[in-house]
Amino acid sequence: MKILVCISHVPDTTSKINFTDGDTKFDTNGVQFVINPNDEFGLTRAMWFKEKQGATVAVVNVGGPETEPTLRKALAIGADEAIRINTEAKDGFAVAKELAKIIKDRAFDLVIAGRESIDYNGGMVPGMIAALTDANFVNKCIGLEIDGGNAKVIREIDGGKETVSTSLPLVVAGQKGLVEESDLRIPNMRGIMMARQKPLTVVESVGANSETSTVKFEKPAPKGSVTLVSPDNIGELVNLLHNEAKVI
Amino acid sequence: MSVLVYIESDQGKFKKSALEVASYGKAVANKLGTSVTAVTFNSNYASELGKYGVDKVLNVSNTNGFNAKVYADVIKQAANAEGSKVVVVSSTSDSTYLAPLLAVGLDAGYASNVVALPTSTSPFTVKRTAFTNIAFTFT
Repeated sequence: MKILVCISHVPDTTSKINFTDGDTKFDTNGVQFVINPNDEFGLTRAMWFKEKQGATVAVVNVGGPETEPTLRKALAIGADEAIRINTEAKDGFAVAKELAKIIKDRAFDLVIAGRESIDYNGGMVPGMIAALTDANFVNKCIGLEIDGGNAKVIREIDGGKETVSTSLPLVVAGQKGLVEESDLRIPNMRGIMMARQKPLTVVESVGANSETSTVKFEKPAPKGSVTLVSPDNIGELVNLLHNEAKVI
Repeated sequence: MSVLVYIESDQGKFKKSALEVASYGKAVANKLGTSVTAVTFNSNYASELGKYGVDKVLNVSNTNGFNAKVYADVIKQAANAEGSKVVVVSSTSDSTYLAPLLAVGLDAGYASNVVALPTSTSPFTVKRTAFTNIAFTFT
């Protein structure tokens, strides 16, 4: 089975989020970048298929050279090869179109992408990949078993979970719960050394157009002070809600 | 050219998010100077949507249960038939499952996690959460 794990290069969860250029760009100064957490769950599950079922595992990122350390980390975790599609990740649809080309060219049986990345939280790339490659698709995947060409996928639904039977080729949107957090792989020294020798191939973009663009970023308004009103002073409360907060 | 809204129901009754989607769709339609068409599946209360600003309801009969690909295709057909340039879905599990498939089918941009009415209709610009609710983008 040929598995492709899509890797997003995202700010570490503890990063300070700031914007530059008139709030039109994310400020990367001082930011540590990591593998998107939802992708880590997918990569760990892929490693299980590699070790127990003899699957091959490739990882792919759409981005510039600055994303290669993140791809190398995925190689250190155990992926066999990495592919970087050499273009900016313009929007989710453009990323999906770029990935679809590689998936079709290399005929991957299983594609695991994170349900959403923690930066733009688009939540669209896995589904779009499936639609563009005419593969089966299961979203919010928290369990995945493959037996030959058949797959049993557990997906999270509102208020519970559902088991879906489907077949390869398949795209799943992985998330927390796909593997136990305690099973997440951490690169060890041997993996890091071996990662340097594994292939990291740069392929050129297909020139996919984006359908959306970010006009600007904004941070939430700072929290205001608290005004305490005595329960005996309902009139003052109504006055504040009407004239200051303007919510009644 | 109506705004199309996908109204989810469960065993014939509207889900909690459904009425919010209908109202949001109505507000968007008002900004665009157009009407609202709703797509529902197996709804027993389709006429109730009129109270929330929906002008037309396409109630689809389906006995096979939710299937994201099938539902996305039906909504796509409705959008094409109505000439809809904006389609509104909620952020439930099923809606976020079908939405990317629908966007590809319509060759349309997709903005998820939208938290306000559009700030502009030309270009169509909406505010959405990003960086796991630490910031917003205008898309």
